[in-house]
Order: sequence, then C-alpha cells, then structure tokens
Amino acid sequence: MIKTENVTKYFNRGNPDEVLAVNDVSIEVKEGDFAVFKGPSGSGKTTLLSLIGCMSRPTSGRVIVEDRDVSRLPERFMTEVRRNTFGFIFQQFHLIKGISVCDNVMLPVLPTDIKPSKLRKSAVRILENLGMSGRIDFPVQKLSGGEQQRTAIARALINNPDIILADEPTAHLDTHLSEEFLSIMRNLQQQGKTIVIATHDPLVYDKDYVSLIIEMRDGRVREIIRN
Amino acid sequence: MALEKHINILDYTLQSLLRRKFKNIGIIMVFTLVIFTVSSIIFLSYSLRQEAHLLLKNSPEIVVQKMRAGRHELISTWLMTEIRGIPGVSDVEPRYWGYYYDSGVKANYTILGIGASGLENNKVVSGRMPSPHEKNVAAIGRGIADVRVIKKDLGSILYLQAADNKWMNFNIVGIFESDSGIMTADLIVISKEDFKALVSMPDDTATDLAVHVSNEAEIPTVARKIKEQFPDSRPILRDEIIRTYDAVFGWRSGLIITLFMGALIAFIILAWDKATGLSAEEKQEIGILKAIGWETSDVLEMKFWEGLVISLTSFMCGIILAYIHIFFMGASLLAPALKGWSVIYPEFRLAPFIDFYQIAILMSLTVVPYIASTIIPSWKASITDPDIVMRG
Repeated sequence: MIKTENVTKYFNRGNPDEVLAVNDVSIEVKEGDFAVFKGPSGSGKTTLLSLIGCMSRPTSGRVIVEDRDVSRLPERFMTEVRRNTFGFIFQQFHLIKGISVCDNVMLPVLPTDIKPSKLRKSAVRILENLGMSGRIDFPVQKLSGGEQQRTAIARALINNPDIILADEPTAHLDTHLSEEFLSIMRNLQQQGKTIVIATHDPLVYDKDYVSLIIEMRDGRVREIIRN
Repeated sequence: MALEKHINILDYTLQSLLRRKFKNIGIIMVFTLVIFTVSSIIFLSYSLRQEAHLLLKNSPEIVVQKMRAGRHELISTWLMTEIRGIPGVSDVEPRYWGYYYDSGVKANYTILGIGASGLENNKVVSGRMPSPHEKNVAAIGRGIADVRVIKKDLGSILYLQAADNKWMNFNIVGIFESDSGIMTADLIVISKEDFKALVSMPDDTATDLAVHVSNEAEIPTVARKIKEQFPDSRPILRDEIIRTYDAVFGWRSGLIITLFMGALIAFIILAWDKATGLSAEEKQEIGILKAIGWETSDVLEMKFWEGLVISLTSFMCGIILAYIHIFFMGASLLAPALKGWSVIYPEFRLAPFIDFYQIAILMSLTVVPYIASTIIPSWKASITDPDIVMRG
C-alpha cells in the first residue's frame, strides 16, 4: 500500500542551515496496518509522514502509494492523491479558528462540486459517530482539547480516505483522551482503513494491535518490528 | 454542477473575511475614503465642465472685444454695422456687462445690462426679468440675495454705488432659481440704461459685441476676417471659451488630486502592507488548506474573492458616497476648491454627469492592484509544500 525506496529529504539544501531530515529510508506499510513511526524528537518521523502524505517531495528516492509513484507527480496530481487517499490528523490539530466545528470538518471537500447541504449531512453524520452531536455548530476555539481532537479526526474522515496519517496525536492529550483517540483509530482500522501514526508516546506503540513499528533515529530507520 | 465548487469557496471566503472583520473593515474604510475623494473630484470637475458646455451652447458663436495695450476696453457700437457686412454673419448685438465690487460684503458681482444675452430667457424663482428699458429694477442671483440678506420676498431694494459716487436703488423684481446658480449666483441683471448710468459708459460703446454666425464651419473664417479688418479687436470663439473652462476645471481638479497624492500614497502603502504581509496565521491557514486537499488554484480563487469583495465593496461605497456628496449635497466638501472664484460660491445642484471612462480608469488603478496584491503573496505561500508552510 505504502512503500518508500531509499527516500532522502534535505531541508534548505546548500545553505548553512541545511538539515538532513530523512536519510535513505526504505519501508513498507501494508493495507490495513496499524503502523507507528516511533522515535525521539528530530528523528525524522514527521518528515517521513509528510513525504508519504504528499505534503512534501523527497530530495531523492521514491514514495509509492497504492502502486503509484507520487514522489515526482505534478502539484495538481499530488493534491488529488492527498485529498482522495489520505486523512490527516496534526499534532496541533490545525483547526481553523473562528468557524464552527461542522465548517471545519467540511473544509477538505469544499473545493468539490458537492452541494453544501450534502457536505453538511456527511459532516454531521461523522461528528455524531464521534460523539460530537452537541457541538456541531459550536465555534471550534471554544472546544476542549479532546473535542478539538475529535473534530480533527472527523475532518480527516470526511473524504472517506483509505489511509489515516496522524502526527503526534496524543502529545496534547491526557491518558484518558489518548486512550479514547486510540480506540477510535483501532475502530477505523477494523473498518479497513490503514493507520499510520508518528509518535514518541509509549501508550501508542505498546498497544497489542499495533501491527508495525518503525523506529527512527537521526533520520534513519533503526529497527522495523512487524507483529 | 461545476458552480457548486465556486459557491463553496466564496462562502468560505466570506466566513474568512468575517473572522478578520476589524482588519477588513479598517481597510474598507480607508479604501472607501480614497475612492470617495478621488471620484468626488472627478464627478465635480466633469459635471462642472459639462454644465459649462451646456450653458455656453446658447452663447454667441463669436464675442468681439476691443483691446488696447493688451487690455480689454469698451468697444464702439458703430463696428456692428461693419461686422454685419462680413459674409456669414447673421446678427451682431452689443453686450453690456461688468463687475461691481461690494466692499460691504467683500464680494464681486457680475452686472449685466439686459438686451444682449441669452440669460434673459432664464427662469427666475419668482418675479420676472427687467425689461430692456425699465429703470431701477433688477433681477439678482441667489448668492447676492444671501450675502446682502435680502428677503426672498420681492420688492426689496438693492443699493449700488455708481461710478460718479451717487447711490442707485433697484427694486428686486426677480431672483434666479438655484438650478441656474452656476451662472447666476453673483449676477445682477438691470436695464441697459441703468447699466450705462451705473458704470458711466458712453452712449456709443458696449462691453463687447456678440456675433452670430449661422454656419458653424464659417466661424473661424468670420473671426479671422474681423481680426483682419479691425486689428485692435479680439474675436473670441465659443469653442475657445469651452476649452478655457475645461482647462480651468481640469487644472483645479488636477491640483486637488496632486494635493491628495500624499493620502493616496499612504493608502497604497497601507493596502500593500495589509494585503501582502501575510500573517503567520494566514500562512498557516493556507498550509492547512493545502494539506487537507485544497489545490493552489482553490487557494488563489479564495484570495481572489477576498480581494474582490474588499476592493469592490470599497469602490462601490466610495462611488455612491461621492455621487451623493456631489449631486445631492452640493459638493459641500470640495466646492470651495473647485467651483469658486469669488466669495459668492454658486449654490446649485449639478446635473449628474458621469465620465465612465475615468471611473473605469480609477477602478483599474485601485481594484485591480488590490486584488493582485492580495493574490501574489498567497500564491507564493500556496506553491510551497504545505509541510513547510505549516512548520512556519
């Protein structure tokens, strides 16, 4: 489903502040996997996640998603892959403040030809499934951390993606909310979705349903454990 | 239907504008003020020119003045017979007019001896025009009535000091209505005899001569012949007067716009700063939208709507306010700079003439650059990988 072949990523290449974030990484995530990229801060796991999610391009090497090399795709097609294949959950949630929960959830599919009433219907259904029925038209900045997390999950699910990518999703949550998040992810995995999480939280990678652990350090893969 | 996508983006744009309402209202207010001022100047100067064109339509084709040492002086009426003999001339009539300085109110009046101008056909608020041989009666402009605190009721007396220091009194039989204010605000119309007595004008002279030419094409030829026959005369063509009006109002409006350039430049700097300086929050928003599946073209469309809504709203508000200011409120803010030439400013309601060409230029110089200054930095942010944008 997802493969990287000798992927390397430099930031600010050729400048004094050049950073080698990912160094010659080759991994494979299979369909239905619950994969975790683990490692300390600066190990390259977030960069690897963004390369897989078509949010940036590798300096060298290939990224293959659903049998398609996405590393050299023109911007327009990369966006298409990003929109149709992935759902993103960011560390800081990255919700748009000042608009409602429902409007945030509908954002990924706004630039499509789907009628607003239909978009809202889908968003409401997902929010209800996540226990957010009382917060649908609530301003997003007034939500608690856990509710913001669930809104971010709902936004990641609105386009019904095959793969969910989450970057440090439990970093700002307490244990209870982290467990709640993981149970939602587990549920989605059981529905057939592939989950990829970048984290350094043992609460995540110690779960027995995690099928793949890729440990990273200094931009390189240190260990791959398949359960 | 492809329209849904654009409606969705427009809807989101409006939400975005509301989220940053204080910043956007600030920009709209300054933008509106700039458009209001510039379009007020354009409306007023253009309308004044149009008004002058219309009024001068009824003026004689040629006015002949006598010149001595480069100065205009009284012209002998016997020239009329000679000029009538020039082929193409249909009629010649003497005009009696001059200026009267009223030291009491420190204002200049224009005095017209009736019988020589199309103005005698003008409507008056009430009363009538003096007849050519009627003594000691006058019709006056609204401006004079106001500065001399003459009641609107007819029958009041206007006192003017003649050239021989004697006082002449005139019974007011008419006051010009405000629609004709551009020409009549400072005007006093009296009989020819009274005018001559007031300024001590010799019997066989006039201020100038109005020459009527039936065929428009012959006007320059007739003017040239008059000049050849009477070298000390100055034939003034109606077109030259119209051009002078254009130049005067054009110069005045140009001067005001030049004075206003400072404010205009300040606005451009503000608009540039506000529009181009994407805040970290705005950059991050673009990064988020890109990361969750928006294309660069979607982001640019959103920014286009944003620029269009702000600039078009400001433009329309500015134009509408300027229209109200000029055509309904008598250009109260700009009138002293643009329409006055004495202490008596004509009070009149301008007919709404609009130069759409100038409005189009104004639009292209304000709306288009604003939209461009909104789109360009967003384009720069949106072509960057969303990952980098989101990391800030």
